[in-house]
Amino acid sequence: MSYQALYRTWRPRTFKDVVGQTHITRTLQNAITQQKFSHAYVFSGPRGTGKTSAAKIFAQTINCEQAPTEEPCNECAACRGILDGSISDVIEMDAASHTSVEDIRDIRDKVKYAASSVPYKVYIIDEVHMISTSAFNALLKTLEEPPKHVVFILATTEPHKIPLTILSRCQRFDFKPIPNKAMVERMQYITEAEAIDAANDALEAIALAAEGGMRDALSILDQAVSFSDGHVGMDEVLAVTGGVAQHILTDVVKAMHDGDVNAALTLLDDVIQHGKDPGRFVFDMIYYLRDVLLYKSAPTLEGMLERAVVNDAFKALTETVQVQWLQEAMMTLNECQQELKWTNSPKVFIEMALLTITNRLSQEKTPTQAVDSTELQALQDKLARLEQQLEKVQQAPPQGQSSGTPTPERRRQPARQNKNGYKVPYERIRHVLSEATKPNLKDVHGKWASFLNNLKTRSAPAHATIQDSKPAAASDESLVVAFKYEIHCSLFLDNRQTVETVLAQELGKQMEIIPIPAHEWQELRNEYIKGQEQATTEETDQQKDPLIEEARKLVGDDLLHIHD
Amino acid sequence: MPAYTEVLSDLRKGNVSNMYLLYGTETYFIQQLKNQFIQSVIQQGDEENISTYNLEETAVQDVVRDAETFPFFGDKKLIIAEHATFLQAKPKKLAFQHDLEMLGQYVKNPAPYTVLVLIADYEKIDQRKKISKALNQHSVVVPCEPIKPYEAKKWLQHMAGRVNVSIAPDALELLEAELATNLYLMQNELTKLSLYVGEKGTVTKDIVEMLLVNSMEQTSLQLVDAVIAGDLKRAISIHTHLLNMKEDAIALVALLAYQFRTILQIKRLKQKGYSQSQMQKQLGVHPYVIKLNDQRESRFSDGQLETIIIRLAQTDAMLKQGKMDKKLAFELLLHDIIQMRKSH
Repeated sequence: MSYQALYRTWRPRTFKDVVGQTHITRTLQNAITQQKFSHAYVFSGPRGTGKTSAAKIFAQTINCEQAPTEEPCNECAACRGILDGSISDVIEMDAASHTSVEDIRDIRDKVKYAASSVPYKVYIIDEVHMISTSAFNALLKTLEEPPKHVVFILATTEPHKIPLTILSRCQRFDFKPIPNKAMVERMQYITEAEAIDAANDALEAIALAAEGGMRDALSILDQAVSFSDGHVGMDEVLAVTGGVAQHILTDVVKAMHDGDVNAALTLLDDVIQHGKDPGRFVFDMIYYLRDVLLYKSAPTLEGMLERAVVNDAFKALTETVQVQWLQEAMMTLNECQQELKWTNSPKVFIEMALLTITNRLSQEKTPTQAVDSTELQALQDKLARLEQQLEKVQQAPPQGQSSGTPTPERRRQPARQNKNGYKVPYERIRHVLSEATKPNLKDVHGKWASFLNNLKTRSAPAHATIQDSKPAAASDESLVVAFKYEIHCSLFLDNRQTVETVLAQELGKQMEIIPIPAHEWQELRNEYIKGQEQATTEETDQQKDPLIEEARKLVGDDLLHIHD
Repeated sequence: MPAYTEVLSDLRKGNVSNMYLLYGTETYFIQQLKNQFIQSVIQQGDEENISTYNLEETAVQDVVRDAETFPFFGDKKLIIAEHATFLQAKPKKLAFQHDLEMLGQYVKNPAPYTVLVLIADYEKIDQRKKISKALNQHSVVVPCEPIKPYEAKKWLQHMAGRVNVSIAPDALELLEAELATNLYLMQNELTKLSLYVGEKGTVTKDIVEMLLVNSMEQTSLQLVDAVIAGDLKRAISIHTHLLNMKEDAIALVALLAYQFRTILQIKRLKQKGYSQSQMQKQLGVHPYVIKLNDQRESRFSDGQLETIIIRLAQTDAMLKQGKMDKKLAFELLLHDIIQMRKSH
């Protein structure tokens, strides 16, 4: 015999088997035993809640040879005949494919004739909302004054599509989604009878995934059984539903909430490594957070949770997280879900979302960090500039080197660089100093203001870097400019070309500008002067004259007193 | 003019006249009376003495002729003539002529062995017509008008008495709110409830909640109630139900927005010292809406209402742009609004 799906072998045969609908089965049973059943019923409710099953059982029970009885015996000729469809008085019509007036007229014509082999003719019209308006009207007449031996059962998932005139003539039963507990119990019963080894939490996970439909639940169970090697556990179920285990979701949320990026990302990686669909993971996360949020607001909502089973870990989680955080996390994940549609690398987006959520919380936790972050930003900028400089330096070796730089210079170089980021070309400056003349400097001083103005019109950034500086010494082809801060020196180098052109226009000759921070300049100058003084004392008179000349160059005539 | 109940009990006792006119739009009454006529007039197994005519297809003179014919095996015959449009002020144009003169003659002098029931299933009959006057004078005229909302409770209790169950007060209120004035529904639901609790049982609120069918219009308004009452659990369960019924979230947002806007409008007008009737004129909505929201208004502050409306607008935009799963977006909305209420 070929294999039959679980939901077919375990289709309810008695009212007792129709789980989660006791209010309906009890009413129907009472009506049957008291012989007070109505001539027309509407069974409405979501899929897999037992509408068609209940209708069939109802048809069996009223026609059972033991009638009036609470349950069909499933053994007498009538019951068996109805079960295998050999009795033509119980007509199961699929309204989805019989939508026209003709189909209904056919019923109307045949309704008059008495049942042939059982007491009642039962018409079970499945998916009745599919029939056309005119077909409904044709049905209306029959429902209004039906012969005594006929019972109509209209089953539908969408009762609002049925005209009110029909509804008001029928007794209506709303089948509710089956509660998870009832589903788990039923599945336990089935697994025991079928000798399937299934863990309880696995069944609970199935019930959650089935969303109140027994048929869905049994299909999932069926798949999980064929997937498993004997034992149906949480893993098998999750493999079939593609879902993520609740404890993982809990852990991820917890990790994000604790600011533990590492743990959150590792968990995500695990999930994806196990072949779960990233989109599904985000979806599950969103609904898990929704459950946390709702449970937090109203713990009575337990029956309305979509993903979560209320256990200790879940409860603990709801107590620790804040509503605000949950909402923001959900919004972020939701955006992430939107973005996933447009990307080939979903993992990156999920990681980003997890990071955003985690970081947002840690920022909120330490509000002072907001201030720090600007400083941090500045530091980062500085670092970036330094790196830039370093790169430049590495690409183009210091210009001073070409003019036979001595070794101590080299040693000093790296140390300076680390500290300042701008390497002062001491040797070159000394060289300039040795050739510097007072008139040169005076000339530059005189034209400095107009030079600045010109520069401002040419290039505002260049002007900005140089405006706070002053020319310190000038030789025929070089100009030493002292900048207030060392940072300006390096900034100046970026604009060197522009500045030098403008200066050349102003002075009428090309001059190379050598920037130096003001305090360095001071040092260098003192050192230079000292060096010169030492040289004077040690060396002969002949050499005095150049010294005086140099001193004059540096300090000017006014301050120079020559003592012989 | 005898009321429906009196006629019904007369019929049960066997006091049957020869000529009846039922008019009105409550088909439940008409249907019940029809069934009672059949039971009271016709003996078991005598079904061939019932004839039903449609006066839009058959001329009245044919009906009268049939009425004057002796019954076929049996003492009495019952003739039901439906859709008596000729009693309307502006009757429908038909392909044939009704001989009202002949009917008038018959009404004055009906055949003793025939019970003729005319059914006019519309609101008013034209009392100025000669035939209407004759009918008023010589026959039992039963108005079958829909019941008024304030009568609903009485009817519920009456019907509960007929199926031999009692209803707890809170259950009664719930039933009244859910079923309104739909007598068919009342009957169906009460029969169902009576079967569940059994003879002489008591219907409690829990049982009603479990068994009652949610009708659509009622529940979307219930959703508003739940939101305003701050009952998140109820709001979400109603919303889930509405989604199962394929109700669109955008429509629900619009409904909520309408409610909160009205509340805000009323609040503002009240601050300006408007009376309820003035507000009604200003806003052009149903007086009941004003009355209802007048009570709700004090539960919200101006600022809260504004925030809620902004939040509704955001959700609306989000739904329409498809930026979020509809169900999720709406649930978050419900959550936010209700949290806002609580923090008040």
